[in-house]
Amino acid sequence: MKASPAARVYGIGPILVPTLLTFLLAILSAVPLGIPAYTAVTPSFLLMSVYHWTLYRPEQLSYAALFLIGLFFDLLTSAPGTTVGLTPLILLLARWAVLSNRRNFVARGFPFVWSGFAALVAVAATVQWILASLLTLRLMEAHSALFQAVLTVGLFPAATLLFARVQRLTMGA
Amino acid sequence: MNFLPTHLTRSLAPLKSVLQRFAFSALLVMSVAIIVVGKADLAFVERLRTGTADVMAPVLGVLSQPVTAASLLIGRVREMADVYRENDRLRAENTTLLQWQQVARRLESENHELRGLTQYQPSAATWYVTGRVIGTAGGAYSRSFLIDRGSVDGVTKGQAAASGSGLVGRIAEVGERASRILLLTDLNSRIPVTLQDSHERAILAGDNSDRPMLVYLSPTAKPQIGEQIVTSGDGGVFPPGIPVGVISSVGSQPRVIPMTDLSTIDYVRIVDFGLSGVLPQSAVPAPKAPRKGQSDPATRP
Repeated sequence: MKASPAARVYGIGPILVPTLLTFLLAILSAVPLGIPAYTAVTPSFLLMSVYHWTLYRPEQLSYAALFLIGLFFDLLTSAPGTTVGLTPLILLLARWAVLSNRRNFVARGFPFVWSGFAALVAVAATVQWILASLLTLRLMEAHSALFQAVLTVGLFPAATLLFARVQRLTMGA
Repeated sequence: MNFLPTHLTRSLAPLKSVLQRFAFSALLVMSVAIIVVGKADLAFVERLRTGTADVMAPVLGVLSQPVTAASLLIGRVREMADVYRENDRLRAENTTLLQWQQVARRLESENHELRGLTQYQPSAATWYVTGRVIGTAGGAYSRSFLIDRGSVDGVTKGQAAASGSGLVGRIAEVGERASRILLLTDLNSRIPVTLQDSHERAILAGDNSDRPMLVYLSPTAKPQIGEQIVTSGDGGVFPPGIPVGVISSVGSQPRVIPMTDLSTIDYVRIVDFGLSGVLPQSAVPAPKAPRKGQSDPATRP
């Protein structure tokens, strides 16, 4: 199974697959797992997806898709009184940042790519923390943000395996 | 996109590149605009949020089903492992509870007589409905739940959400089929409470940590570690006496461990006490009688 018929005939498959996968990850982020303290440190599956697809298939996960998915994620998961619009902002900036540095990463080995992701997560988490604090005029508790960042970086290899598999199955190598 | 004819693709190419160049900045501006609008028009954002929750409720309901089942199974297996110890503990607890039952019976009859004497009017009927947690929300910056009960089940804003052991939070947003519970650990949660032993009043203020703070405690109050915290009924949103938590640390900033482990809840009970309190009348419609068959049979008078 190389390329799915949809990908071959219409050419829309390649765009659809990363977009739908990212959308699915947005929904999965909201599913309770019953693990103590999981809610507060749910890893950012969206950032993993943005990083992977922007590096390896930059055409197939567009700014518009990220904007809509980010907005949907915010509407689905934000609590009353929190800011809506922060996630699309972060996702757009993440794609822009990865796209501008893509050349340095795309042909490198996995450890290098992984450390690039760690840097992205660190910056994104910091920006998000600063914006969340500014927008509520209160210093946000940083522990869970820190753990969330660590968990996101830690789970990235597993996510990469999944993304690479999806990529092979639907679009060929 | 090669599903368009080639000549069309070619003539659209410049437009496409322009669009792509501006997409980033345009969408960035739009995100900022949404943040600003969201801050200014809370009702609009709330409508969008409840709309999304309504649409996604069936999907999340299905997705969270195996998780709920798995956590029940894990619970069972764990229970099996120490069934003997658990049995001993329950026997001891049963003895204690039987004594309490005696006390409760005596108090009930005494209470009944006293109510008769004072011609006490019982407060509006209390009813409840049980909902399943279908979505966790908030990530690092807020604490809330999505449950699979909405306005069709009689859920309204401001109702208390409790687990078997105590208060969990309150209903903050209601959709048709789903509602959002603001947990008492959330940054925006403020609950008037009483320290059960000293009868001191305070506000339980969440700060997104697992242990909400006791604020506005009078300077002369001496909170003790292990002291029970219950709702005070001030503000008229919750009735007095719902268990909330236990004081876990004292000092300059006393903190409270909630009665319930908020991260592992599967089911919550939404309780309406017929109180609308400080919330504006528009936000809290008069409590409706639940539709037939939707409230639990144990509805108390």
